[in-house]
Amino acid sequence: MGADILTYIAKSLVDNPDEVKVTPVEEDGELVLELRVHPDDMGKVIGKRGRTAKAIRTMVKAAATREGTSATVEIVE
Amino acid sequence: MTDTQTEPDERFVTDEDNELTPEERLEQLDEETRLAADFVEGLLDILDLPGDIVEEVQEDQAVVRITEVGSGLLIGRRGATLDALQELVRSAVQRQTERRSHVRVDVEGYRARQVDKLREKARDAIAEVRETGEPVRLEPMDAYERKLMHDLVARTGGVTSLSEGNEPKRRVVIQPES
Repeated sequence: MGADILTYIAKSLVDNPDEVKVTPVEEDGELVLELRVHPDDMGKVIGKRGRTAKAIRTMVKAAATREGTSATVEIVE
Repeated sequence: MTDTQTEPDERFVTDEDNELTPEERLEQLDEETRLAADFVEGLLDILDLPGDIVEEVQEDQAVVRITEVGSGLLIGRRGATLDALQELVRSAVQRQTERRSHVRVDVEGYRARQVDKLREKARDAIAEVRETGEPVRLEPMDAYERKLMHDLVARTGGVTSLSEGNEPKRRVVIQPES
């Protein structure tokens, strides 16, 4: 669910939704969702002073909680 | 802008909005609200949450109200998830309209209750300013909440208000009328 919600949110925020890519990775037993977007869209998913990135993380965490899991989001350049 | 900058702002908004006719303004708000509701609907779908979505557009505000979610998931501790939802809705709507979004999101009336509490605190602060003659700083609020506080002060005699500080710590200061 974390990956689905992240994909949905990211696609809603960028100008190039086809280039949104979410890759789930296990790191030390933790689920990390790597988010890749078109270089021109980086600002859109990060936002002013990281506000949008923070909101994305909060929402994905909330979604993961619903499943009793946790997930962190890493925005990859 | 510096942290100490003090200026009366929200009462004298002079952005592009004022050049629109009321009809154009309503049309824009309608569009933004519809986009916001679409985004929220998709989000609820993926989260597999129920929920009624109501779009409310008035001349000076637009709200997407989400009720019957049956879970505090979208509110979070001290409204943290709702703050995140608000930011995401704002960004998603702005990407499509390419202008500042003014749509507010509320879940199970959380924001409405919060605004009631802020008004209550502002009334206490006004009483304090009148008694002591000293300015009182309210807690940091977003632009919409600050506007409500300025409006409240403007309806009250003997006190004035201004905003100081930078987002997201910008706050309303109530002071005696000079």
